[in-house]
Amino acid sequence: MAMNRRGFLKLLAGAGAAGAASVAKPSRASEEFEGYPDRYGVLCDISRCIGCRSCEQACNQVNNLGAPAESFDNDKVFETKRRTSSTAHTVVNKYQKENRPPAFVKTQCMHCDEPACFSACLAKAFDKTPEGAVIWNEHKCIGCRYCMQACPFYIPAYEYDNAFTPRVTKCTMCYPRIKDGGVPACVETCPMDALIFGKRSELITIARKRIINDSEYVDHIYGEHEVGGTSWMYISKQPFEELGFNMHLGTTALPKLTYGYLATIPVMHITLPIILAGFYVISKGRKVSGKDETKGVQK
Amino acid sequence: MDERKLKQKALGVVIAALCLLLVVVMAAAEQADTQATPQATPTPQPVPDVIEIDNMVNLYDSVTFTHEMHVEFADSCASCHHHSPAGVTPACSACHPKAKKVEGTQDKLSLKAAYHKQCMDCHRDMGSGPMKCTECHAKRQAPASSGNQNQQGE
Repeated sequence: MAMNRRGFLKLLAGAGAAGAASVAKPSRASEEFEGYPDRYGVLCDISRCIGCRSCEQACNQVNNLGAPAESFDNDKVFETKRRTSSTAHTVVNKYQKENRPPAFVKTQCMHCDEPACFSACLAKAFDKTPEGAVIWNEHKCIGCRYCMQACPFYIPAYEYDNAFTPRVTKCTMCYPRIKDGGVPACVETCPMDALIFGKRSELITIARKRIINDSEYVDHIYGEHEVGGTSWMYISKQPFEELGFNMHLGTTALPKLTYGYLATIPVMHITLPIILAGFYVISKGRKVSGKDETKGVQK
Repeated sequence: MDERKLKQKALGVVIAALCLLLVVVMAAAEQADTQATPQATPTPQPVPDVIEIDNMVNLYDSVTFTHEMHVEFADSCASCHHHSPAGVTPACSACHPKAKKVEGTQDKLSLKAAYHKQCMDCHRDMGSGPMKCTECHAKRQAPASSGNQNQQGE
């Protein structure tokens, strides 16, 4: 065998450097992504919502989700906390504390700037469009439902009652409508302008203005920085903690937490065989020289 | 030397006089302004008794707004017809657009929201007046244009 110890270490160092370079490059690119510049978003002003559930109705109609179990006029649905499902891409929940007016919180996909569902998907079935919507592609999905586990807001739902062609379902920010210059159906129907649609950067300015002009608002725009920023944002006059919002999600985009680790896996596929082969060569060499030594002793 | 001092004194007096004049003129102008506003408030315009709000009818029927009754409750026309010159009472739709898209950073209510907020905020503060959807407008059986949510509600 031509390789000696020094040669092997040289090879190892070279492979390590190459590996480090290939890891560093994509992770740097990921950190530099600041979102599509002109992406749209929706600002939800919780203090304006009156809990009429028009948004739920409009969403149901636009997405052809079929007749609901309970009529949209029925206030009894507020007695329990609901989650988005395959038949309701958005739900409004009621939160009421004593001596306070009721607060209604609309829940739907937050359309993260760097979505965890997109990152977790094995089949690239998710896409973050330049318009800001996070959409799902029926033809690529393999039905693993990792997206449902990855979502920090528990949004994607699954058609469990559909045995043969089940789909992952969630709000699309009415992508077909906004692509044609329209606004999402829930925003269009909202009778109080609790939802407004526009460029995300402009919505943040509007939210700031409202907070500055009215001291009753909580000085926080939920979604501006949470999980690296979301297209859907909220402002409220009651503490977010008491309205079912998770305030412990941090400001780092969730894909970034796993990116470094995952990026090393392909590199390890190349370097690990080389390292192991090196160990084999060394150990084999030692055995041979050991034999020689014993021979020498015998002489 | 004395002559120079005298000149300085005279200049001082003239400046002081000018300042005084300016203050007097400004005060007078302000007084004229404040006098002008209350004069304009009681508008001699004809006031409609009942207004049928039907320019956005889709999912709900039109609203019959008892304008005359609300004139009696309101402190002045400007309570509702806000951000307008004294004596001018533009319709809500004169400023509030039907379209929902936000352009730039202006934060103006759309027409539908302006109607709802104008009515409901006041009803809530006063603790009286209709608050539920169908207390103002009956639900329609067949929407005017299904699929297009643009003109839902009143």
